[in-house]
Amino acid sequence: MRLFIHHETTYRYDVPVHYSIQQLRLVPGSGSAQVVVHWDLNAPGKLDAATDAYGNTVQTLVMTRPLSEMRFVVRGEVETTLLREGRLQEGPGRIPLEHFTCPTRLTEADDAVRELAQATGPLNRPAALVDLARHIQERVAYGSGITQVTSTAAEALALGQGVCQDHSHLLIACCRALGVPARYVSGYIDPGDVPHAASHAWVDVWLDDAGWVSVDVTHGRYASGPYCRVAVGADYGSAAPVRGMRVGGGAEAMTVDVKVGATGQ
Amino acid sequence: MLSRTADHLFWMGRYMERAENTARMLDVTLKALLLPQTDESALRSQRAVLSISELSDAFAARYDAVTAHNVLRFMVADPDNPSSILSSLRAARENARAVRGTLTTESWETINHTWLDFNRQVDEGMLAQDPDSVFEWVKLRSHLSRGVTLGTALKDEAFYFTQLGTFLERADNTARILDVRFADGDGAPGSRSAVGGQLDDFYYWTSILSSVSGLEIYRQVYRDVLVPERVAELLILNPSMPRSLLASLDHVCENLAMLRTGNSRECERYAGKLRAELLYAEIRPILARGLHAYLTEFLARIATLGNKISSAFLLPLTS
Amino acid sequence: MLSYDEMQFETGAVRRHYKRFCAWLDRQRGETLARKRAEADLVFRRVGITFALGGDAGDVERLIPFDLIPRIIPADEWQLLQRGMAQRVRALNLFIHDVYHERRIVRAGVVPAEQVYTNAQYRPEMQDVDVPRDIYAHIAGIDIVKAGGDRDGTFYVLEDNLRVPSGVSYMLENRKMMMRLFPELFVQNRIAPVAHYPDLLLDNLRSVAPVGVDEPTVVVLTPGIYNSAYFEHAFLAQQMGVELVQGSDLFVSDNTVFMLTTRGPQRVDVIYRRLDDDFLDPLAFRADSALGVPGLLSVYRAGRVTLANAIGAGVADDKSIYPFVPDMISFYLSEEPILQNVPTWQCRKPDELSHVLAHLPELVVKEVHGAGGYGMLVGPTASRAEIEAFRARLLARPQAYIAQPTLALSTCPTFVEEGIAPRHIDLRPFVLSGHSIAMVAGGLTRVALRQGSLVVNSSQGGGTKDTWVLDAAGGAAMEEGTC
Repeated sequence: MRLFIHHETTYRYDVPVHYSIQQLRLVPGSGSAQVVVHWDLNAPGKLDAATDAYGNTVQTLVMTRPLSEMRFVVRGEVETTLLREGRLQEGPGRIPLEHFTCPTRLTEADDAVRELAQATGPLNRPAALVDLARHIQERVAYGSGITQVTSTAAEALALGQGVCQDHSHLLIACCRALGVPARYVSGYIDPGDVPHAASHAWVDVWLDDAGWVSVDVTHGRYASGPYCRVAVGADYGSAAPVRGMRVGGGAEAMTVDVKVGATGQ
Repeated sequence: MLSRTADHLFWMGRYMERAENTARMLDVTLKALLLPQTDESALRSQRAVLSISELSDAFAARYDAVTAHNVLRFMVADPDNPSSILSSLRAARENARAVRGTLTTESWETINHTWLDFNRQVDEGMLAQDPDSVFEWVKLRSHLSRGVTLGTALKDEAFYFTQLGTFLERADNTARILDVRFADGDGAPGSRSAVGGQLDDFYYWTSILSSVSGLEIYRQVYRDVLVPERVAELLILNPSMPRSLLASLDHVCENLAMLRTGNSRECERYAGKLRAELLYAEIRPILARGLHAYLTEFLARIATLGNKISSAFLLPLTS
Repeated sequence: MLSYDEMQFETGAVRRHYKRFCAWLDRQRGETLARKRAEADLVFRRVGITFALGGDAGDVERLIPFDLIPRIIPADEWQLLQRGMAQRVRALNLFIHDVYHERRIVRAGVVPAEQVYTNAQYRPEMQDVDVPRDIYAHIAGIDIVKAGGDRDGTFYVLEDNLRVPSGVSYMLENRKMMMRLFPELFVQNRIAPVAHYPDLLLDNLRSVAPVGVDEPTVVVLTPGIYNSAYFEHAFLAQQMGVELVQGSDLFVSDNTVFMLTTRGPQRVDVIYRRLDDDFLDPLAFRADSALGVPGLLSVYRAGRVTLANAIGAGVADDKSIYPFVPDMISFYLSEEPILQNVPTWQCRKPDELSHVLAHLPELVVKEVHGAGGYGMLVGPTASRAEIEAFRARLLARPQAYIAQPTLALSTCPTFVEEGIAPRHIDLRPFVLSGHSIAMVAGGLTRVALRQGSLVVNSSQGGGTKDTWVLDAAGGAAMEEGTC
């Protein structure tokens, strides 16, 4: 199916910012799951492009003149392929799979997480991942405002509520607790009729027989069809769309507007 | 050199000078309180000390009554007063410590010992027993620091930034010392704010002069009785009087010239203009306009100059 | 268990390389030596060589005790050490390069993949990234001990330190102090100089500048004055004649690292960083680090700035990798290791774990990810309760521990309350890699000041000594001393 993405993020500062550096992971790549038809990223200055540790395209923007507002606008079109059983049909990638079995601070397992990981049986086939995802959905209701961007998987499980980032971290934490490689995926989804945010997160899990299998925990299904993959990483931190620092600026107000539309099946 | 290093050296110079001048100003106040006067007039003097350093509110928050004892305590040894002698010496020492590698051993040790000894004196109650000797001691330690710097430091960027801070602060503080007299009054005829006139003015001007070590200099330059107009002229416009505003600006401009970079044109221009005005000014028009108004504007321009120096050299990312 | 004493045989006879020094020591009056010790204390304190305990320095500035009696190494022994360390560091750098490129040693089954790639020090950010001259550990501190009986001690490598090894400033300041206190000793004995270390270091750092940079700007990056090793950072910067910077003095723009100077931004080419990887870049690693430079990693990956030591070098200095170093020497260099590892049992292996559990009172058991002597069991000196408590920890997480036999570390005469007595020592020479491998003859000798203690870390009460490597020519003794 064809996805149309429009994503605008604006930062406003009450005092001028004198120096700011932003690293943007807002440009998707083409692969077995999607082909980028057209993509445009608009930023208030020169972007230095590079590839990061996980193979994502990362653009660095540095502003050294005073500014009170910064706006990024993304407009793009992506043609997606349906993934049978969520399989990406791609190799492991350049980073050794063992790395993806290491828990990070956000995906550390405590006793509750370990118990959850065992709850639906061995993770030996794609369907088992969807089972676990649905189980997580039940245990952690979708709702924003309870967890923060810095919340860990264990915290979200304890709170019983979270957003797609928390769902994804929790599936990753479960996989890693069982020694199964898993990585975080950040991207866009066409939300259809369901009023979920169009910026979305899901998980790729490596199964020996199937390779990378993409699972959307929040929707309890394979991440196939209305999904535009933008970046992967060990957790949110290494796949975040915007990560930056500034000198000056006072208080920051951020507004985000994401619209994703789709045509085709 | 690193901007941060220059920033520390600049402020080390400023705080050392501030400590010395606070001692000098308190000296003036103390001596003024020895003159026969009404309680009301004594109170006004003390209030003047606070308002000159823009500390009246801070003082009121911590002390109930404006008394000589409280004002002294607040201005000399109160760690919560950022402009007390104690705070200035501590700040000088902290800035020095941050750039210890850039200073000669003697420079660092002098500042460090000044800080440690001052604390000891305060703890031993010297302030209550003999405040005069504390002020003298602070001035002496400041002379020593300056001597050690001039005698041992390499004449490089580090030296010039320290000097820049010292003389910028001196210009500011001398203007404030001059203004103490006027901050308490409103310039009405017959009040002590009016220039010229009464006997207590004589003693008052004498104490101002001696606080800037200018008593003998006055006599050498003017060979005449003490006339307030001439005191003001000496302290504002005389290039040979080491603590005058003009002499201080001369040094500021010299050091800026030694530090010149592609970014410093604006602050050199600004400083140069201020200096030129002092160089060609005459005292009568200044006094006619009102000394207090003149000094207030001068202080504002010094503050602006400080900001321009920051932008040019010290904090380039935040300006 | 009798240790090898550096100075004398069991019989009391003085070893050849100590004879001249002993003769001199015999001639010194007790009060002169006491005076000299006090002088050393005073000078060290004035110069500011201190070591703040724990994390928050506050006002606790404590001197690391300096002992006047040097540890002397004859020329031929040093030759062996030097060749052995050069070989080892060469192999370690090849290993790190391999980890981040072809993984040959893992594919060959010599080192298990999970030892390397689940290691917390493995940085995916370095995968397939090329660094100048393929060098990752530009500065390596190799901890060496001598063990064995009275006749002949054997050198063992206790540990490799490839991340942010410290202590070289003490080596340099100790030598300066000895020369100041006892110039006559340096006339009588031909001792190899060490003062040129900063020159060697600077030379090597310049040699790994990014391609195309002719006159590289080198800086030392420090966490700041509250870091316990700050003195060393400032000292080395000053000795090399380069700027000492903090993270806030640097910024990234145009895919370049710049330094904020009074003359405007100046490009930086090589950063000798004394910060752990985690704190280097808040946009790539710990977001809460105020010590690093946002955007530094990108510039580094693009090859537009060099970091010494490289990010991710720690993958090779972990205690879980240590047992494989002799295999690395054989795999990459096709050579036999010149220096031995201490025999090590890896508790993650069930049969080795059994052995360890059965022999706890005789062994030293260390955490794989520990440092500084904490979290360690020294079997022979531990109480039964401590041993049992440790057994439980071992059983809970065997993969987190390795064990080694208690080595009778060599001893060296040291000034103590009662006079002069033998105390256990180790040695940390510093190996520099750049356009070539270089080292100064000597290193930091650390001494455990408590009688019988084997813990030499300064944070746990250890002291230091000057280390003398005698020039080959300076051999024959002129007098017998008794010491």
